[in-house]
Amino acid sequence: MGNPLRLPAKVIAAVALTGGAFALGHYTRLERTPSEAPRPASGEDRAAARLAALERRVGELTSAVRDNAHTGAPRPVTPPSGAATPEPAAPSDDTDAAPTPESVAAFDAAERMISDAVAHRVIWDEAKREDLRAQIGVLSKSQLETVYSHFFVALNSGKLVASAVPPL
Amino acid sequence: MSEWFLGRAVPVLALGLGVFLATSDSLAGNKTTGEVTAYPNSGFGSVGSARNSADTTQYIECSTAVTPQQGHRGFCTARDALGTTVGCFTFDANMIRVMASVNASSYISFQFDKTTGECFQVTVKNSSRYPPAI
Repeated sequence: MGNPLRLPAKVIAAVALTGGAFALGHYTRLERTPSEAPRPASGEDRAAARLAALERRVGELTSAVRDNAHTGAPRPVTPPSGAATPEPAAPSDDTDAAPTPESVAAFDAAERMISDAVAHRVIWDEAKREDLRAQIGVLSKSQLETVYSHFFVALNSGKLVASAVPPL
Repeated sequence: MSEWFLGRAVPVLALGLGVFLATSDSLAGNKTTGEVTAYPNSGFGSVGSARNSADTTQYIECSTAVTPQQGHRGFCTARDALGTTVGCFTFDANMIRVMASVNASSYISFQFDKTTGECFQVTVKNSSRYPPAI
């Protein structure tokens, strides 16, 4: 039989090896395919599991309500023995300091900065941000919220051209 | 035999190996990109795509901070390749937690109330599908 097309031996070997490599690659990919993957849970299984979880939760809540009815207070949470002492709670975000003359002046200055940038189409850049940073440190939470709102409403409507955001 | 092996078989084997590596899926994986998009009430895109983009304009970010007097707050901001910038802020602790989870492979999406500038939805997806910021 031999080599009827008289192809160089190198070409034949390259074609054979490349073909073999493809076959090997295909085989290894097939090997990686999980043939016995766990059967996905059916809709019924999932519904049953959800129902069981809900029933457990209702049981826990009922028990908690029953316990609290006796004491009138939530059950104290007992940390597991050996657990680290819990950190003191962070100050609540709901509390807001009352405005002071200083914070009112800073608030007016901050609002004016944003209004001026909008009115004069001045680009809100890093320098403006640092100017505003000097004002917002003394603001109460609600004053700060108003300043942020003013800034982002102007930004999102395209009235304020900004290359920077306000200081956090 | 040894001379034949080194002179002929090794180059052919190397060629075969090269073709195998170039055509196999061994370096593949599901990939996607996320150029930054800014709409009138939302912004979205992936951190890595923005960072690696050809333009020097687009970016997407979220920042969080806390002070004793003013509590926790956070921003998300997006600027697209054309320079349109949108952003929103929040004092909501849950949204701030989501904002704080952003990393170099994150896809960020946020929506906001146009009348207040407040975020009402923030989504962060950390996935191998998104390119890391280089």
